[in-house]
Amino acid sequence: MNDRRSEPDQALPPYPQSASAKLYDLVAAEGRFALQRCQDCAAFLYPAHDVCTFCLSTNLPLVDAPPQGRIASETMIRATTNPYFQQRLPIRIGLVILDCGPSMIVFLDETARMGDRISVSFRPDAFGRAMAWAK
Amino acid sequence: MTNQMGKFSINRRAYDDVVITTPVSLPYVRYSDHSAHWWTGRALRALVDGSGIAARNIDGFCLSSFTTAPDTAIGLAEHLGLSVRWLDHVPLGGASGITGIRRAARAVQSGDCDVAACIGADTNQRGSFGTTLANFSRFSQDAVYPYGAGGTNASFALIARNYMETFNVTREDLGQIAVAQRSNALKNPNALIREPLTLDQYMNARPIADPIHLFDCVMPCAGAEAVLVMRQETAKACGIAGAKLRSSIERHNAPSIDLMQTSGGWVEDVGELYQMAGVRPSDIDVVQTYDDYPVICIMQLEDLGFCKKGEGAEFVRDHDLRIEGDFPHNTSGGQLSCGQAGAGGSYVGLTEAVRQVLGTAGGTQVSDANLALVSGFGMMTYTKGLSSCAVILSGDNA
Repeated sequence: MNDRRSEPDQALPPYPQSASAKLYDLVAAEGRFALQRCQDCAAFLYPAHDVCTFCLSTNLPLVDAPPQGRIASETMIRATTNPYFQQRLPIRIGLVILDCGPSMIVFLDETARMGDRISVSFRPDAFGRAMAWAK
Repeated sequence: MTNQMGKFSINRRAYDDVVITTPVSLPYVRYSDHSAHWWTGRALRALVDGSGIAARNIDGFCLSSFTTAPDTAIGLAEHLGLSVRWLDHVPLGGASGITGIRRAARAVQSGDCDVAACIGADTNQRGSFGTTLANFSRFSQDAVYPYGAGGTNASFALIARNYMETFNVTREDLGQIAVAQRSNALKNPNALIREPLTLDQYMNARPIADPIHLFDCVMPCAGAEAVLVMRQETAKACGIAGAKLRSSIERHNAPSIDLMQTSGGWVEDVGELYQMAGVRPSDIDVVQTYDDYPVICIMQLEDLGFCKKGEGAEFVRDHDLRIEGDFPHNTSGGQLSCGQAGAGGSYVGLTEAVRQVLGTAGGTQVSDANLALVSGFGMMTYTKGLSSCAVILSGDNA
């Protein structure tokens, strides 16, 4: 799929965000790895949830979470419709399945490969947004 | 094959004499300055012209589109002058078409309406496809798009990479599907891409998101597809031919879909699909799978019972998927060669299957095609394709 470039606006984050996702930005700034955890059924949740997928609870505070998991798959992105990312290609990402339950799309550190056991951390990007990295 | 019935389920009731008529496929264009309203209007006009049924006698309307904002189906109904007593808007991407007609089928069967126009239409203006990707779903906005904005190509690349390694699927296997579909497209004057494709060209195409290369991807474009759904007696009274709806299934967010997806929701319902139609996979004459990436075609061939899980690549190696082959598949060329007109893409297999079983497919006609299976797939709101559906249609000889 190819689409024509639209005018880049480098002053804006290159992506929209829901209000609840901002939860993670503070965690990244503090250098912690935390996920929402349901206080009723103890399930870890990701991405940002307003309701527990497993028991419909709405009591879902952020708590420190075990960051270990496995890279189930990976890809090298070589084309994008987004002007900001067009200037940063290629970009390598992976799908991580955490031992504590959720799956996450992550950026891969140089040595991280499909099948590897890794740890995930949140790091702030240029816009202060929490981005997940696997190492 | 399993039937995942719910605690309170009864056997599905037959559709009796519900038929799908008047398959419309407007010629696509890569970019269009027209709105989705314009494309929807052209499709409705083609339904009216093709059926001889006046717009005032169309009393049901189901629309699927990504690009009508801020309008939904009701805004389009007003714009097109449709006064209906059954209205639906199905925003399910690649699962929209089949989901739409199976809802329409129950509406006409029960008398909630008599003639339902089901339309999938989208425009593609420069830059609009990027907007669709950026705003697809909340989970995607939060936790997929910011990781390089690779869009569906990157998301399906993650599924494809694991699938290929787990089940020993090679790029050559996937290439066989794309090459066969291009061969079919050469016989379809409406296909947007009508240059021959060789396996070498497929293999040497530029990488988009490994292992997805250029000819694994559909080309976003503008266009519309549509059908009418009505009772057979209505079709007879109007002197038009219809494909009989023998069975259908739909499933969303199936528990059987693993975090690393290797199957779709079809596996939950495929037993009922064949049971309701009273046929087996080997009885099907022509198959139209949802071909947003060939690896998903392989997944469907497995999940719809044409072979076992993990045997899809071998099945493709052992069969000729062209119109003239022993397993005619995506006979119009599919989205890989026709282009993907947004939600219109969810109707591509359906309109072609109706033409096939009615014997009106022209250059792409499979000889003696009487039973067709069509499947749909869509809605990767995070990392899994959540929506799956399928129908079996038959012609007059059933």
